[in-house]
Amino acid sequence: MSKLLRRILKISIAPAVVMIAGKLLGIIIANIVYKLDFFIDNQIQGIFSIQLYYTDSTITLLVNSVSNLIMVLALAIPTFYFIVKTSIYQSAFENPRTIVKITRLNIMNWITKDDTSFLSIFIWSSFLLIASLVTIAQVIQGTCYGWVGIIAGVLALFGIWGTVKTFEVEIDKIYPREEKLYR
Amino acid sequence: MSETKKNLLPQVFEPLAIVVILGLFLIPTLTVINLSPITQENKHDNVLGATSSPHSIGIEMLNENDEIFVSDTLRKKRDGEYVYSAEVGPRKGEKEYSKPAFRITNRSSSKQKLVVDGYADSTSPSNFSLKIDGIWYVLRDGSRKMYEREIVLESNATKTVYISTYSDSNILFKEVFTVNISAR
Repeated sequence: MSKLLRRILKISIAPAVVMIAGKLLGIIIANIVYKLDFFIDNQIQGIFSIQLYYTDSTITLLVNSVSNLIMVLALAIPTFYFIVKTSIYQSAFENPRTIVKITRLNIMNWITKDDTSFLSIFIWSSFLLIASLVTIAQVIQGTCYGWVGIIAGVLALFGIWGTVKTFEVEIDKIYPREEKLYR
Repeated sequence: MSETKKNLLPQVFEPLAIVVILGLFLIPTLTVINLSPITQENKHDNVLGATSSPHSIGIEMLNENDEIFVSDTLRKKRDGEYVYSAEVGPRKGEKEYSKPAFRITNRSSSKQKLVVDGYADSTSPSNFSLKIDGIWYVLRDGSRKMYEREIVLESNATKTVYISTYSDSNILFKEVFTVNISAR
C-alpha cells in the first residue's frame, strides 16, 4: 500500500469522528439547554433504520440548526488552526518581522516544527465543505435556519481559500517563483 | 515465485484502501443526514405493536325507552367516527322533547375535540339539537339549515349527550334524524 494512501487513511479518521461527534453533541446540547423531549422511531422503509424525531416542527428546526452549527464549527476551528499555523510558519521562514511578532505574542511553539501538511489541511477542508453542503441543502429544504447556512457557506469558502493558499505555498517550495529567487 | 507473491499484496490492498477512504468520507455524511431530526406524530402502538384508537373516544348507547325517540342506533363507521340515528315520532308543536341518547368518554390524558353535525330525512321545520351539561348544540334549525358543532372533552371526562327536538307546529309524521360524530 502506498505511503500516500496510508497517510490519507490516518488523517481522515480524526475529521470523520469530529463531524459525527459535533452533530451528536449539538443535538445533546440543544436537548439539554432547551429541555426538549425527543423520540426515536424504527423505520422499516428507506436507508436508515433509526430516526430521531420531534412532534413540533419548530423544535426540529431549532435542534437541527444548533447541531449543524456546532458540527460546522467543530470542523472549522481545527481547519483554520492548521491553515493559520502553516501560514505563520511559512511567513516566519521568509520574513524576520513575523518571528519578532511571534516572539512578542509568545506563540513560538506554533512554528517550532512543520507538522501540518497540505494533505491534512486538504482533508479537513474537504470534511468542512461536506458538512457545509449538508447544512446548505437542509436550509434549502427548510429544515435549518438560513443564517446557519450562511455561516457554513462562508466558513467553507474560507476553508477552500486557505487550502488553495497552502497549496501555492507548497508549490513554491518545489518550484520557487522567479521574483523570490532574484530579489 | 515468492517474489511475485510479495509484489501482489500492495496491489490487493490498494483498492481496498481506496474503498476505506471513500467510506471514511461517506459514512460520516450519511450519519449526519441520519442524525438530522424530522417532525412526525407519535405512533399510538401498544407493546404488542397493535394500534389502539388514537382518539381514545368511547361512545356508549343508553337505550332508554322513549315515546318520541325510538329505534335509535349507534354505528361505528371507522376509528373515531360514529353515526347515531333515531326515529322521531309525531309530536305536538311548541313543545320540547328530549332523551338521553348516548354517553361519550375521553379515555386519553389529553383534551379531545369532537365534531358533530346532523340531518333529517324530512322537510319539516323541526329543530334538532344535542344537549350536554345544559349547553345546546343546534344541529338543524327551523329553517332546515344544518350546523357543524365542536364539543371539547377534557381528559378522562364522561358526558351524557341528550338528543332534543322542537317545532313551532305539530309534526304529524315520523322523521329520522342522523348525527355524525367524529373525533379530531
